[in-house]
Amino acid sequence: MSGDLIIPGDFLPIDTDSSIKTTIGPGIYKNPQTQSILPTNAGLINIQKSKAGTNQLVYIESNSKRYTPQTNDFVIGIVTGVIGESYKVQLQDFSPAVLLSMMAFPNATKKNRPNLKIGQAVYARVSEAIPEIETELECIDPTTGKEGGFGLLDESGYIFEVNLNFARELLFNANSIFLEKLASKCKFEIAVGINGKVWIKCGEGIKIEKDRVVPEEGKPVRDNTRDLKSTLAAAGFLVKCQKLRVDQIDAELQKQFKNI
Amino acid sequence: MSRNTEISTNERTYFIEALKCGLRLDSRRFDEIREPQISLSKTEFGYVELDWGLTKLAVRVSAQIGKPYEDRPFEGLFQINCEISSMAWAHFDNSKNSNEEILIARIIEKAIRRSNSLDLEALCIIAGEKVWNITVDLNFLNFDGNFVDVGCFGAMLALHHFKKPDISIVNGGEDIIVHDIDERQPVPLSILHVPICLTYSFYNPGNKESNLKGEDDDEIYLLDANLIEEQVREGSIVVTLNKNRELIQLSKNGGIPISANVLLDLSFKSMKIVDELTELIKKVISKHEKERYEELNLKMLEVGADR
Repeated sequence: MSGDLIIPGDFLPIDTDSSIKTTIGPGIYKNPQTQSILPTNAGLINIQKSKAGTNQLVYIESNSKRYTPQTNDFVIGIVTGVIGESYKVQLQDFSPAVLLSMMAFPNATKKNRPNLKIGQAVYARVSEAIPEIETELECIDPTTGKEGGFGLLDESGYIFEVNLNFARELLFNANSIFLEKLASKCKFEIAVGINGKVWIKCGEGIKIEKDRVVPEEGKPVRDNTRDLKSTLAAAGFLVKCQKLRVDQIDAELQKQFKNI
Repeated sequence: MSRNTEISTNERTYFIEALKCGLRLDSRRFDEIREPQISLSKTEFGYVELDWGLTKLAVRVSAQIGKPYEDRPFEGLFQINCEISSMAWAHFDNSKNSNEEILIARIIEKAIRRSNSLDLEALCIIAGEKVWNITVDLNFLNFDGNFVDVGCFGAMLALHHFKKPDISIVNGGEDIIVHDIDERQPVPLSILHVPICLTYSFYNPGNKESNLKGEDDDEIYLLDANLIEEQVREGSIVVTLNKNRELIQLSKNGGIPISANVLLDLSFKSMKIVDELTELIKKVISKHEKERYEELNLKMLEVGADR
């Protein structure tokens, strides 16, 4: 039954036997009065049954542009300001700002605060997402209490936006071919936020003004336009991939990396 | 909810660095426009949808019969309405018009209406009594930069596509009959010239002071900026030209100063693109006309047709 198209108000093709425990995921609504469940999104339905047949999981895989924070999501946010002890972070354009406490960094204390500037990007985990109050992020891996890949994304990488379901595909689908194909062309570092933002850096990315070394006399200056070009090409490739069929991907990859 | 967008430092530095290397983020050349995708309505005259990159626009032209202004009894009425709502981009406000929106509407209006691109005297039916009132409604559906160029192009395209019902005057000028479009072939508008707006955005990757002093001229000019480019730019100029090499409008509102040589250079460069876009309008319209001619079998209606 998985992979079928379903639209809001359709009949949900699941077992309603009361002995089976049903867990509902995104796109499914439970009517509090009648306890019946209904689809509320248009998309592909996914039903996973446990081996014993006593549990089932139902959710709808759909594409959207607006991101609603959920606890434990990995997101990329842009710092837009400071309120008291927290940074104001924007996860998408025109969305309510979320908070990132200055204490939510590894080894942060009152005196030893992280130093983020407005406009910089962070990779963070949503630690609390309750609709009624402001959403909070944190940059600590909750299991180890260490950095765990979270924190400031350096400025030598490029940030661009993709659809939410493409971001999920990149992040969760281990068999996803897009990054594998891309890896055949260049070496890259990537951070995918489930809010549709992607940070990518090929090679060294770009050199920013402050850490650019003054070349000594007679020594050739290392040209980093190649890294810049491949980063932009990689970003262009991933953006295009959202709307391509599988057999068109190779051609697109060649096209983007044509001049590099 | 914040009504402003924040560009990350990453995007900004990448954009500037790429400019220095002669690249744009979407791999266009500096003087290259995005390819317009046009769809003309088959069922109604004067309805056009235009995709310009991710910028999307719907234009409708409509005609009504009204009374002319008393001081201009021979001229029809022509107005352009620009509808920019927060549907296009949440930054735009629905209730009140911001300066930005007024500016866009004014520039488009100046380019088309004030340049007399539509022959208003051809819209006169009975002098001082009845004239055609032509209205162009521009509805911006999505914003990815460059509303001025897209709006101007879309409006001209729709005016070319539009046809008003045929009329006849009876009883010695007492009454008029408006013929149904199924009864008599509707007539196109008489368009005197096709103004094309081109917006150039300026960037100064070097330092600002030297630019103000006029010491170096290494500013970069981009044609048809998209959203990111438009947010980062340090100034812009709208050049409106037509195919006859007439300069209709130059509009530069603040921003970094540019030298006269650059201005001349930009105007010359624009000519090629103006020619291409004018040609595109002509081509799509004639293709559409031809399809319609064949579909309705209009050959049957011609005088020499073998019936």
